[in-house]
Amino acid sequence: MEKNIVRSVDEVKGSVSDLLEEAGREVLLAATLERLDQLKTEFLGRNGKVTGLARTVGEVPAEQRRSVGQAVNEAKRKVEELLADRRTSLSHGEQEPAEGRIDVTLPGLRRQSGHIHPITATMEQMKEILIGLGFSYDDYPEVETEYYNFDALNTPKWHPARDMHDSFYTTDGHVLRTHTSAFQARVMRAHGEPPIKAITSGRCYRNDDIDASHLPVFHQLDGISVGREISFADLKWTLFELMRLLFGEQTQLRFRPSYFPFTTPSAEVDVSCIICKGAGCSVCSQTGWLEVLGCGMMRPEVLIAGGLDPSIYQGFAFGIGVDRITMLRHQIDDIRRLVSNEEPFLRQF
Amino acid sequence: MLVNTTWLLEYLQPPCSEKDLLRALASTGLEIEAYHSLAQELESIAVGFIREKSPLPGSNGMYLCRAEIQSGEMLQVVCASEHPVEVGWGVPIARGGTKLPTGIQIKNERFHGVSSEGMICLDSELGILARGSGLQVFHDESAMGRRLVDLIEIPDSVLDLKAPPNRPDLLSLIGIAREVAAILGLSLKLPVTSIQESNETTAQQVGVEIEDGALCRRYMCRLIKGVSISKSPTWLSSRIRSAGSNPINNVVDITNFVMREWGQPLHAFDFKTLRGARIITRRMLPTERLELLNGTVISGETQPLVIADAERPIALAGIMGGKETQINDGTQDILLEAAYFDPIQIKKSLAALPVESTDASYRFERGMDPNLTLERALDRAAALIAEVAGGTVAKAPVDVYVNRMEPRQFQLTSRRVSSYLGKPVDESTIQDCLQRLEMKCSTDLLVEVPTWRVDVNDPVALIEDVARLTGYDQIPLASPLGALTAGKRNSLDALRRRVTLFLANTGFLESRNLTLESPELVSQFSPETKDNITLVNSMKEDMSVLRKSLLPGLLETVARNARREAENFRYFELDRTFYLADGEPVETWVVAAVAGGLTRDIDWSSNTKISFFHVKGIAEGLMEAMGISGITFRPANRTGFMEGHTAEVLHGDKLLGVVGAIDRALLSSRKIKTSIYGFEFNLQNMLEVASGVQTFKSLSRTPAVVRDIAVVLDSSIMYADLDNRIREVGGGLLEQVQCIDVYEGEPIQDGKRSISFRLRFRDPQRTLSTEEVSETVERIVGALKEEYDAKLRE
Repeated sequence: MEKNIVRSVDEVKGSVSDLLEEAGREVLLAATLERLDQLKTEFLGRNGKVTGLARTVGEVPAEQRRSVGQAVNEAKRKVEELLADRRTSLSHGEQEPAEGRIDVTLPGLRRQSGHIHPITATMEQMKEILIGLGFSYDDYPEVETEYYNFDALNTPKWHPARDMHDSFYTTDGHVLRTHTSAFQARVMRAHGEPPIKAITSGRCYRNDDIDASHLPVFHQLDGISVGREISFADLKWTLFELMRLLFGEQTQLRFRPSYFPFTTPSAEVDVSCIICKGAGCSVCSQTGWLEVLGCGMMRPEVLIAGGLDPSIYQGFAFGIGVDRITMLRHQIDDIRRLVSNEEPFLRQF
Repeated sequence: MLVNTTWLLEYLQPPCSEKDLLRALASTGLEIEAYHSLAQELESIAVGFIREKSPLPGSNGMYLCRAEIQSGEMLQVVCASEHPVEVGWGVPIARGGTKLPTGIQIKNERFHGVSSEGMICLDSELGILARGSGLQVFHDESAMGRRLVDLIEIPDSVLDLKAPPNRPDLLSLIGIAREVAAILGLSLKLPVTSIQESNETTAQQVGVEIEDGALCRRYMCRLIKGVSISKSPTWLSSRIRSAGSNPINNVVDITNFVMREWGQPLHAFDFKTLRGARIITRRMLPTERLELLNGTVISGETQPLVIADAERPIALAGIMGGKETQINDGTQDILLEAAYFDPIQIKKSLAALPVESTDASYRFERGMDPNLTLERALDRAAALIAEVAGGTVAKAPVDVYVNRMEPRQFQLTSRRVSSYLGKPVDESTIQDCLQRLEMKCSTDLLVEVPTWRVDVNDPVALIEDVARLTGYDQIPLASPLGALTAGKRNSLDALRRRVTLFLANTGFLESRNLTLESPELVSQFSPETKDNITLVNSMKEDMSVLRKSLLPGLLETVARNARREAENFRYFELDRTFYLADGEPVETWVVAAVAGGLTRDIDWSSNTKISFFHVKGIAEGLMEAMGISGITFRPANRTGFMEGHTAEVLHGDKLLGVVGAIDRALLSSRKIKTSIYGFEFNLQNMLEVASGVQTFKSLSRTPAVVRDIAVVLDSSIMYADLDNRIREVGGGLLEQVQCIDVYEGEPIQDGKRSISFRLRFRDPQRTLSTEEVSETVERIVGALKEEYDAKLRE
């Protein structure tokens, strides 16, 4: 290098940025601490590239030496920082693909994945289907008034149907809802003029003894559809769609006369057994059918309680036991498993 | 209600097959709770021949028999005098261990010191209707050891039917047969009743008075003189047994029989025990006492409805007769009662008294028919008593009917029926259906409903009848017409779903615990008990309060899994919590999570234990994912959490929840050895501060300048204060502050710690100069030095 050659500022600054780029690349590629030591010497050593660049500062015009000098110092600091960072990550055990083989059959490092409870998953799937059919979801109280849980559903005090429910009462005079149907008058009042297509779901309470198919706290999903011409045929179609999407294309439905104080005509709905497809098995007690829900046309008293004129509007209502559907879908033998929260159970779904 | 099908089919003309019967029953709304085919369930009953018979010493009329059940194989059987067997007879024998369809469990038992290895079975004990003597007897020895079902035909089945609460008319064989006849197009065959009456009228011998027609619409009675009380004939006792009751005597069994046949409960008084030849239905006086048939003595404080004679109450109306006036072996004259009592009054009487529901009250409280059914049932019972127990029926019943129940009328239209069912139904179809149910229905569909149909209180009930009789399966599937509705979920539910997915994707298992807890469990995180929502009628103490936090349940989940050898725990739950505010229940949706153990369950390399900061990090991540920014953490003391390791989480002034280490006492009492950290957030509050749709901010093209600084300062100085101060001093150019290292220990002085910050500066418009960044860093360091006595660590 000839002594008196004057370098331009741009030339030196260009070299600085080239050098920084090179250093960044090389440091990132360094897979071992040894290689990092090599690089340190290569860039910052007595004969290193940065040191070499520093020597050129003297070759730029005097009035610009200060700014070039600063740029070179900055570059030196950056390279030091790059090396230090890389040293930290390498020494913290970050594995780098190096020469040789690793045992690719060792387990991946992870935490086990989380799982959604089958009740939630089933409830969500039913909600998704019904939302797709034009129903809207909302929450309603679990600590209810007797009015909404019974009276508004055509079940006044002393009505024989109240015997069907052993209800929990609270010290402040409320009842824990015995069914999600308690939402019916509420949703009609909140919504106003039909068409109304509404669903809700959640916990319900009955003072039952605990056994393989009963818990005092259980889950239901309820829906209503009210309009001028909503008919039993619409109800059948809606439930058919729901069950088919839930249990598969081949699912058959059977509607049997039944009784609920808040619907007339009322029906109990069976689906063809999802286990044996109707051939008869132990799950369906050899009948080929599984009872899954209750439904019917809303009674005039209920529409009136909801603020609607039954001479103008009519509608259907249905209520589904979510626990039972969940148990059927997953062939769970005992409802108590749904609240056991044991990992071997939860991780299956 | 147990129903023997052979008995039921006696009311149908022509009789139908069992298959048709079952199909028709399904269309009535009756629920078949159990079905027993006797031919199948009696397969284990075989014929044995009596070889020896001798009185059982010390017993009252029992016999010890030895029966040959297989050639040469003898069985020792003790039998009661009810079972009249003779040596040489072949009879059905159930061995010990057999369970009969009537529910009788045969055991190997000892009677007066002698063991019995089986039972000789009467027809009624087998659940079949009696034929002839009521005991199947075989004289041909070839029957020995053969199964009874191979020797005689047993067509009977026993159904356990449950009538819907609104259809008390289906609590009788005739009521069921009426429905079956309508559905299958058969005729109803009613029992023929003819009474030989004496010349003396009932009214001459007894007077009846109803005090309040609202409580007792009608009271009818008949007097039957000169009966002899004895055991019922086998046709009768076997029917009583088939219905699940025990025969008592001929008169009581007949009232029971007629109740099952017609549905109308009846009561028979021993006429000679009545005082003053008067019957009054009235409220019981507070001072009065009445001993019931079952020995319970009731008092009149609650003034239930009673039947009284001239002096005292003699029966609890509609529920149970009195002891003093009951039929006994010496009874000669009977007053037979058929009445209509107000359903609500019967329920109220039951609710107020220490008396269980009876077959009679079960029917009265649902509503009986005061017209045809009541009259027919009374006559039927009177005729049967005269036939079975002898005696003469006095002429004409006394009939006091003060509050007449008229048949209801409704106008139907084919338009309404069609619109309701979603298929065209013409007038003649409607008329035909309703007429088959014995309703009067004109061609223009004005319908008069018999009074036994207490459920029909509007035209809608008639639409159900039409739907049932034409078949629910005949209603088509129709995709709904009319206005389309947009299906959507409320915003809280949408948030819940996102939170659930976030936590599940973060490695948490969703747990669902019961919402009812013990007061003790509730208090673990909520010491205040005044606002608890407590149940008044919980079966168990441990399920008596609605939970106020999800954390106790989640700790139970940890404990349960710890017992199952789990070592790492990550559970969450989303649910409502409950408390009272100003006496009104408040329901709050919350999400809670607990975690403890290793950060990674599967790791053979290196691993760390979950700490407060891991769980805090999950909480921060959750908030960020839900669009909630700018949350702050404030040290807090919370029941259930460890002091000094707990923070409240806020957004501005709004409290979102709490995160912290769970109190060790709550862990050790559950035998949880791992440290557990948890958080609980109010989802409604989260929803309120979550941002909606994000507006795009343009991306910066200028380079950032990064500087690290490390300061040593008092350990008591909170990181958040430093962070805030750095941002303030750093101003607009300071884009990000990151804590990259916290260190306590050598060579740092005790009580102090070193904190390293990485500061990132950027101006979106231009490239920053080294000078201005250095200058800002110096100002930041200066502020920390001055305000927090920080030393720059080189």
